[in-house]
Amino acid sequence: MAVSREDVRKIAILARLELSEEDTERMTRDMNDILAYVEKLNEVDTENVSPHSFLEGKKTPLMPDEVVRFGNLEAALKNSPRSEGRFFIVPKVIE
Amino acid sequence: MSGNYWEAVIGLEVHAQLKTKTKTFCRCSTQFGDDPNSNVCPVCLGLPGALPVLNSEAVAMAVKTALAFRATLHGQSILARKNYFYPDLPKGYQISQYERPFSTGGYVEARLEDGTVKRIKLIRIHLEEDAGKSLHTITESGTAVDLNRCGTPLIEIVSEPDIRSSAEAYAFLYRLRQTLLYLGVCDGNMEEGSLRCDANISVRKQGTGKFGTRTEVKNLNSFRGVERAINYEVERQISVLESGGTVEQETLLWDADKQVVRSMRTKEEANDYRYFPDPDLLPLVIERSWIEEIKKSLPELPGEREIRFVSQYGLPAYDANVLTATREVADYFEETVGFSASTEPKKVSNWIMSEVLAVLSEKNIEITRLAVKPAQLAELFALMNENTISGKIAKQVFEEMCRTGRSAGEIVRAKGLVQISDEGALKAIVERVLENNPGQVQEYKSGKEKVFGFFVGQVMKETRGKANPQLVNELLREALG
Amino acid sequence: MSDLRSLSGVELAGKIAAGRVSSRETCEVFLSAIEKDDHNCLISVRRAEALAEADNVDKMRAQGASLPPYAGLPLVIKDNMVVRGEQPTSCASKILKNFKSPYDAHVVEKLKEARMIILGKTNMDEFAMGSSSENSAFGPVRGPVDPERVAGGSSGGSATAVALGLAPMALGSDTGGSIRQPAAFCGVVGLKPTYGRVSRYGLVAYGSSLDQIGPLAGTVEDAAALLGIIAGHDKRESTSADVPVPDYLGALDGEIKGLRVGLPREYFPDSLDSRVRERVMDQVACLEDLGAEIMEVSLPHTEYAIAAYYIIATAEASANLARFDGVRYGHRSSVSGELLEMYRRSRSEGFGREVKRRIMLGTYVLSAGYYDAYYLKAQKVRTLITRDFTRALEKADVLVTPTTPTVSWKLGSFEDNPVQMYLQDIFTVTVNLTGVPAVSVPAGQVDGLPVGVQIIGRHFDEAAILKTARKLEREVNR
Repeated sequence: MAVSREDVRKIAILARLELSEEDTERMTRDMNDILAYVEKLNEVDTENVSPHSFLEGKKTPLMPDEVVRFGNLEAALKNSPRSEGRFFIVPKVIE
Repeated sequence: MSGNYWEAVIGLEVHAQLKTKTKTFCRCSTQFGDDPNSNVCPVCLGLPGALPVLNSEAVAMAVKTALAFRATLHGQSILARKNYFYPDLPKGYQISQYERPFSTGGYVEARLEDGTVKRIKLIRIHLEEDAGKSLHTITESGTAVDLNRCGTPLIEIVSEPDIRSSAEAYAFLYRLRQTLLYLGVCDGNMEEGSLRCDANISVRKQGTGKFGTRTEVKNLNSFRGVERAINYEVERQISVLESGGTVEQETLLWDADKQVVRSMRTKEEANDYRYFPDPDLLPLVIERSWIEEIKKSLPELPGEREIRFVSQYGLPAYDANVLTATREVADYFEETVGFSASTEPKKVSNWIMSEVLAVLSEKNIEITRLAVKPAQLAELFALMNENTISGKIAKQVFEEMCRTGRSAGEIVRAKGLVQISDEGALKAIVERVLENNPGQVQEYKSGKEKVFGFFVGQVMKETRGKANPQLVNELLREALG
Repeated sequence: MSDLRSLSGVELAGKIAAGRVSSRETCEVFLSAIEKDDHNCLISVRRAEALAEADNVDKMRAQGASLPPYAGLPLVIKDNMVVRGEQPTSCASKILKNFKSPYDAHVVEKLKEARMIILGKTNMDEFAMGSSSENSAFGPVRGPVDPERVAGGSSGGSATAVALGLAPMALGSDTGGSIRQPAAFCGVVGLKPTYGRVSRYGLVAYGSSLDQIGPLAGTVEDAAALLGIIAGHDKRESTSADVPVPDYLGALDGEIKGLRVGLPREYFPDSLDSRVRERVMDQVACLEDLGAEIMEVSLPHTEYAIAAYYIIATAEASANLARFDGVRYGHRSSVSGELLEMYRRSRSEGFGREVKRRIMLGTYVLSAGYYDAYYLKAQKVRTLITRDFTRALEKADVLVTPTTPTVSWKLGSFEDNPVQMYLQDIFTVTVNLTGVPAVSVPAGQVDGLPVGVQIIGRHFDEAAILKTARKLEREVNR
């Protein structure tokens, strides 16, 4: 068992998901099945193998520092579930 | 700090907002103060399908900063996702750097109060994007989120825990900020948030090599705040340890109103940021040739400039320090002095430190906004050198120059302020003054030295302040014997 | 007019260009077919917008304006590519059910430049996570040949729409096989371009280092044409390749003689259904007859591909889907509470089971203490798989394999068995891990159900796989 039900509860919080008891049970089982399968990777000798070979020789492109205004702001903001004026509103955060 | 027994071990993490025109990964404006959510686009709003492309000027400014602090630049570095949830973090991750930042090492030379310089080493400098703003108190209905700031480029400068006191921290921050301003990469405004500082603080008994448990103190909004928070937290930790307790590793907030360090009200879960290289970006490659180009564009840094002011201009250390506090004042000084070989640097220095800085403070402006430009100040000094006006009159003229923007020459001519240096004319006035004040002459001759000033005053009154003071002095001494 | 639906896209475009049929009539025929269809291929239809665009093209043509070759030709696109306007881009998820994008994806801009008409957004597995198009908040897609069977996924809606003649061509996306596998199950052509060939700007991200948009169509020629329209460099996408786009149509009838065709032995295991093997080997024989040189190659790390894929894809997905938090758009739970509750409820109400599973897995494999063992390990294995391909593609110009180990399965078959479902991707995920291009072409049937043959090429060598695919399409009896 790679993950316990308690582990699953913690991961759910990290991922901002809420699982019912039943779903937690199911998720625990599924995750363990999947993790048991991926254990396979340990059969492979990856000593001295780079995990970033995909990126070798590549260079991220750069853009010039010039303003381009996004022309359809109103449509973007219209999707807001809750706004006040131009602000997005979320439940109050207390620090 | 607290006696000889305990030692404070402090490291600072400073975030500096870079003065690029656009954001790190999109072309939205970074302009401050616009309507909420008006400088946003699909990328910085975190809309589905949006993708990042890196701003080259952000990289250039970051490299400039690393060079100024003598850090090691890495030709290839990785941009990584730092994953966490917060309302002003639209993607649910911040693009930052983790395992491979673009620079490591380097140092900040902090000048301490006693004049010595302490080199505080840096662990790293890396590039990242800022989050938006969450405003908790502008509406009752919840927390308001404005993403205008979201995506603005930041550099994070992390020091080694080399700092041993709040005074050292202050000096470190001072030099850091000063350098950033010299470079033109950040406007260093802690109150507005373009410069932010967190402190990692622990204490240990002097002589031990081990580190004590450290706390992180956030929300330091001013230099004074940094000093006070450090003092408070160090004292707090010492008293906890001295009473037999243990210091908890936690994140604390500096409460500037109450002037205390307190726990955050919500329990901050140990944040597992799950860093991994951002698959939407490729490695950040900084070529040697680009670094060389940027190196050439580096201005003279404050420490170097200060030293040069002493050696080149023969200024005392104090003057050099004040004049090089900002690049603009230092430039102003050098430009003024540069106009004529006969302008005495020390005199200009005095003038700037007293007259000029006073005006700037009074009008609450930067020296670049001062009506009196270096050329004009140089002209004023020329007039003084030629004895056309006295130093006292010059001050009046300067005041007028600041107010009206007119040149020294114009004002002197218009107000007929040309100094009276005609020996003959002055001699006559001196004799008249002495004749009209026999009583005071008697007093002087009987030993009352102070009365001399009265005579000077009278001559000045007669000449409406325009008499050449040196000459007046000479003539009076001659006449009084 | 129903014979319009039996024409290929290129043929139909030709008719429209010649003025023999208007764009409007054409669109109306397809729209009508879409409306009558019950395979649940489309999530939304943009009837008014499409007809307005069609009218515009017709008007311009009448005025003698010079128009691009496919102007007025309709198509459908998967609902994970943003289209600006009143129709939502849902990704088949409750969480984006009402999300109206304020911008167009790069490929949508290219289609609009070409004056092609997007009729609607196709159904899919939610957020492209799945191999059956059953994981949709809008109900499963029903397979075109047998409606009790899956259409394949995650571009099942696009593949089915093409198979049923609801549109002459479609766009899908492929992260682990999501264009090729449904193409195989539905008996159509589906191509995944080289990673970086087509811009991902505006494609709702699933596995960022694996995703690519590609064409689905009834013919290889159509697929080539559509690829030519959407391919090319995009400055707004950092992983977009700055490589010139060749003339894919022009290269279609290239020479096969002397072409070195590699058969990776690991893709023809003993356990492979012998009938699937036969169908594929028929294709190989045909290539041999045409002068291709057939050889065996080996891709020794194939058996580790699924494990590596599911770790990398879910890790990237867990971060890509973090933006769906109910703050600025998308579903926000109506149950009030504190911020933490708002996040958890909105996301839990909005995401389906498979999506949650992958987010959980992805979060786990990146978490402190597990990153090295899982994520980093998977990336290293990815490097080894890539080396395998590089070596094999030095010996051979193209590789030929079955697209899938089986034919389509009955709806609900893998309900409670995610791992078994994942294992079906065995022949397709390696392609995404290495970034090479691959196309699936129909290769006959087994039990009356379509089977696909997959042709894999070198990076940016879509021309080679297209010409090979074209020969098979032309020469093999179905």
